[in-house]
Amino acid sequence: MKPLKETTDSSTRASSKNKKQRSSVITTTFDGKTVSFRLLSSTEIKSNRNSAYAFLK
Amino acid sequence: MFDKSFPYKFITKKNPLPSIDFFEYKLIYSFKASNYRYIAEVKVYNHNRHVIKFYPKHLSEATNKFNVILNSEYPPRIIRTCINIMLQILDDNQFANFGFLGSFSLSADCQESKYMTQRYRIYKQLMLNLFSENSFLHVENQTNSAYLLLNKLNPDPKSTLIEIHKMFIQYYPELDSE
Repeated sequence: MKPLKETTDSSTRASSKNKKQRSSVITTTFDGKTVSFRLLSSTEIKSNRNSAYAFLK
Repeated sequence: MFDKSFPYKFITKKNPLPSIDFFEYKLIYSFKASNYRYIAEVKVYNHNRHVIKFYPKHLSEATNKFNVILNSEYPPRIIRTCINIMLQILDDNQFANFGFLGSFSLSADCQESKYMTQRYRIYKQLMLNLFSENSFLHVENQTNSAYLLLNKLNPDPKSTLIEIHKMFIQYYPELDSE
């Protein structure tokens, strides 16, 4: 198994006016390939939820 | 729409492939939908990571078993059955993390790209609706239609995310670069 060459962690702010509207991007580079995962903010999750309930409160 | 499910049964627990060191075991479930029997596979990796996949049993040997669309079936009930399996896993392991890839659809006349596939968009909406941000971190990669739910009961979910991220890239070499 090839070792990971590099892992970086960066953060971006989606809206400068709303401190809760933050999203983080975790970027990993492996064997020349860069893939990023974005952490959804609490505000983004709530605003995109179209149901009145959640299984896990 | 996603309120109804099919009864499912646990079939077996399979041991890992020796060549993949972070793969712990695989759980196999089965359920009968409207027209076909389905297999749900839950691959369990270290860091309590669970990846659930499902496919029609009669296509078990097909290379495109995750990509076909069967027009004779009603998908919401099938998808909800898989979510019930996730909830049972969570009952058994309160630290469980989850992940999935929304496979691209394949039909006789077209092939969907890997970016924000139809399956991904449906599954993501369900994750947003059904799994609270109080209990899970929601993480996505739209380029590859990948989604992770990181359990906040784990002591350091963001560190876990980085480890899972590394495994994800190693295990899925077909992931597109950004």
